[in-house]
Amino acid sequence: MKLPKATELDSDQQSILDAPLTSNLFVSGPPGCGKTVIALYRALAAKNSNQQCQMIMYTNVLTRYTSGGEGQAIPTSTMNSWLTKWWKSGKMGVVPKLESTPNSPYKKPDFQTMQVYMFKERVISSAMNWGHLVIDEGQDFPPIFYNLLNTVTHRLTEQDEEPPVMTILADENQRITTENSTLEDIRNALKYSNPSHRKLHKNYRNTKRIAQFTNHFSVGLETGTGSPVSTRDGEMPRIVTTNKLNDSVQRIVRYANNHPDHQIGIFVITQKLCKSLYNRLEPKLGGRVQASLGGGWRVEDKFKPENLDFDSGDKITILCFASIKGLEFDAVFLPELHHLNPDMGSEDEFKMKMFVACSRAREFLELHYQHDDPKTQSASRWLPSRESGIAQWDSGESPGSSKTRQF
Amino acid sequence: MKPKKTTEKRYFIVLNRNLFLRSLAAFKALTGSSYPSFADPLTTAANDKLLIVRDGIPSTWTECISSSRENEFPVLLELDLVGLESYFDDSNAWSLLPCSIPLTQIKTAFFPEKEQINDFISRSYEDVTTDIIPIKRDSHLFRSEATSLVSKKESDLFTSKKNPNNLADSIAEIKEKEIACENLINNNQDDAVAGGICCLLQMLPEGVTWHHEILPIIANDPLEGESNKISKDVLNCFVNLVAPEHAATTKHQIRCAIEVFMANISKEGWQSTQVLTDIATKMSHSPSELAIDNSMIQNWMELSVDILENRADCEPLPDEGEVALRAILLACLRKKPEAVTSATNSYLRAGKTVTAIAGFLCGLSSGMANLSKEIKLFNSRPEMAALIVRNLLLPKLWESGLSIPNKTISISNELNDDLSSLLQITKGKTVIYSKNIPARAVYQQLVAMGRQMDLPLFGDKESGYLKFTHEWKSGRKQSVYIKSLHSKEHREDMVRFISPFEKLPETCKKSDLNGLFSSVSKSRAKTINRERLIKYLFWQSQEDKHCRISIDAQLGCLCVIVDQIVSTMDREELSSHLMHVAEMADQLEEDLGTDLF
Repeated sequence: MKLPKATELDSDQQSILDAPLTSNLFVSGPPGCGKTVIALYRALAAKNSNQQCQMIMYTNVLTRYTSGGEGQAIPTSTMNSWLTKWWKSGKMGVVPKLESTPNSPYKKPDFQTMQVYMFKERVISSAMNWGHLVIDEGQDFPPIFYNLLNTVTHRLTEQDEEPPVMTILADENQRITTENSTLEDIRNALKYSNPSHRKLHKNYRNTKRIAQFTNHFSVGLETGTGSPVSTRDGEMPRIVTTNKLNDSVQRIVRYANNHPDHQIGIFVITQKLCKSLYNRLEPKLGGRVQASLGGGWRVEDKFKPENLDFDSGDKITILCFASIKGLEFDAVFLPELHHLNPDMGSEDEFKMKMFVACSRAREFLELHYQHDDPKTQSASRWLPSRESGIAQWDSGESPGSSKTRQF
Repeated sequence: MKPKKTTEKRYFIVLNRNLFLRSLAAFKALTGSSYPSFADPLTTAANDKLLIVRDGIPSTWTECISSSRENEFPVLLELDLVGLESYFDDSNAWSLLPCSIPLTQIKTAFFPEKEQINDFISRSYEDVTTDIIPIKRDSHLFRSEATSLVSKKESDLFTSKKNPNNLADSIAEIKEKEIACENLINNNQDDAVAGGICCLLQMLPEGVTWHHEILPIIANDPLEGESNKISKDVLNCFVNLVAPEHAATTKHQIRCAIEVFMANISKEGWQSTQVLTDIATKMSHSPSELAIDNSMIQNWMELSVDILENRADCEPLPDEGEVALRAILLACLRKKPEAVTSATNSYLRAGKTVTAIAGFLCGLSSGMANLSKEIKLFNSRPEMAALIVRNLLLPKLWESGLSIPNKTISISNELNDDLSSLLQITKGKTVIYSKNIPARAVYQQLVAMGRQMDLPLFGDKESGYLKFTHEWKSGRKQSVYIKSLHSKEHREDMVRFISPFEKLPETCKKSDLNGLFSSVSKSRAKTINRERLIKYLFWQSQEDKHCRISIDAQLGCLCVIVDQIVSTMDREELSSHLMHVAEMADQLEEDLGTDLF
């Protein structure tokens, strides 16, 4: 990830970056306001001033995204990975886990029990003092995780230890599930640590038209949607009706050929679709195409998040919705949108997913859905109407060979 | 043995940590190169004011700056400049100078505490190198209560209402400017044209003898005042350079594109498809002698819109046929100048001429301040960079972090007797560009009129005004200066006849001190008493006096002045104004018992 220069930061961002490194900081702001940039700069500053520093994120993909370029200097990991090491460092044994559920096959950490253990311990090992912990996409972590961090801070301070420091960056509008934390949840959970809350308001990522389209999916929480500062050329986001997956493939290939220097993100709802798209795009676009199917031993090496390349400026990356937090691309395609069926969850959940996905696009955004699919009706009713004026609807038909119209 | 007490004064620029960081960011771009050489390093080219203090700042200043923001603190930059003492006197230990000082003139940066140095250095940025200037701690400099009169005046500095000398106002003003700088991008026509030219130079096809062709264009089209638009000459030269064989129709097409791109600079969020449609509409109103095929234009526009809307494939864009149309499509498709450069290697196989025109259009819409360093740093073409910087971009230098060409390039602008000047760009000892810039039309007109009336007028190199010296039979002499008052505030060109009769104290001499007349009046109070001031006011109210008494900061004198509209002035009026102010000033000088002027 390439960081902006000092002269490219605005006064609000600079003022947050100048905040003392020994005090807790809580930064909230809409997509594209520079939260990840602030996270990385603050982590670098903490490291340069000899603080023990660790940056944690929710997904492996975002961890990979931030670990390139300047981020190489910072130890970055997912929350689960950090939690395991940290818990072990305090000689607390194995992280207690909850039972898996049909909706969540992975066993989540049992923060409640961890907190109870923490209260039972007469003295907490100083090895559990994390130094400076930078948490990006903080809304993705449950409130009880912050309760645990708050308790540890309290206990360590009582033991006359140097108080551990936290920098948390969050946007509640970018929650993917309702189990995630709101800003209020985080503030309440961190009452003892009492981080200074700073807000960012400007959106530096999206063009005005994309920001306007994205706002359609905002569920109206405290962070707000940010006012885009961009004066960049912006095309209207497009909603395209297709007949089959190959129509989407054709449009993506065409865009990729016309824009060989663009980073393109393709977000899909299932891993099956992710693989299917990869298999159709790779023969046409070659090495530009990459995909992530998550971790795990059953996943082929080429689909592992650690093999994603975010530093080359021309990659076409296929990802599932769950892995797209914190990323950004020049162009974003959302094919087979009818698979993102609002009947599978609440309207808010659907909107939050769409909000996160659409706000990843810097310059170009295209949504595809199949008009003869029965699910389309339910999916399209949440999309902006043709009359809204914030999107351009397209039948997806090709206007004919350009060779007959050469100039 | 007691150390010998030093009387040498030290001068510092006062900044906060954030301004210092930004200065360092600009400085990095200057490393290994030097600022273009100017006759006066304290030029007023940039409109900012720098707060300069002597010997340090009092603790109340330190507290005021520190309390403005969390983790904020003042930074003092010690200056390595001679001549600063003339801006200070015993009653004034600080000064606000409307100048830009190259950071190469900074000896050391002083921080109040060691922790603050560590905190500042720990925050690393790509464009900031903290070891360029030595950073030291000296807390005494930030508690300099003994500094003469700083403490006396401190209450005024932060509390008094709007006052040009009020530090709080000035800091607020600097902050406002800082915000304005953030909004600079894409809002400035000069910046856009400079961006376009910069990209064009980067992408010109090989073999173009660019510097012989383009340097005169820039020099002849300095983009000052109202001439913000690209002139016909520029356009002709531009088309001849990039596409000589297509000159007539291509020129028309490029002109249409430039007009639409320029018109869209200030618009937020403009659409490529809309830009294309506007250009096509303009092209369709082409002069009949060009015989442009409107159906072909329509075809081009429809195909281009389909490509931009991802409904059609883009075919290769070679250098043949309608190069301008291909270039416009490429500019809309790529948007960023860097991406245009890479189009030659992609499957688009864009031709070099197409790329150069597209690069120019992209540069226009991006603006110089928004260009990447790679394009700004066209080291092989330093002369052009020097000239662009000198003519267009100096005030924006700090904001854009623009790199300056290497040391051996220098620009001189020498003033002649008739107020014309010789602009020379030299590389080492070789003159690579030389141009005579005639004096302003007003001065030329006045010199001609004076010649006819046998009143010789010459350019005064020191003041930059025209000068006439009248001598009476008694042997007394009197100088009269004529200054052009051309500015946006005056609807018509005006001239001012100035004849000095008494010198002001040294501190009031520099033109940079314009607006600091409160200090003038305090100093003058020692020598001009109320009685004398009333006498002057009474003197100028007399019916036979067609002039008034005033101060000219450039000359540093009390003067007799008369203003006149140039267009209505005839030879007799020129003569009578010259004589009248000379006589009046001489009378006043005689009353004082001197004949200095």
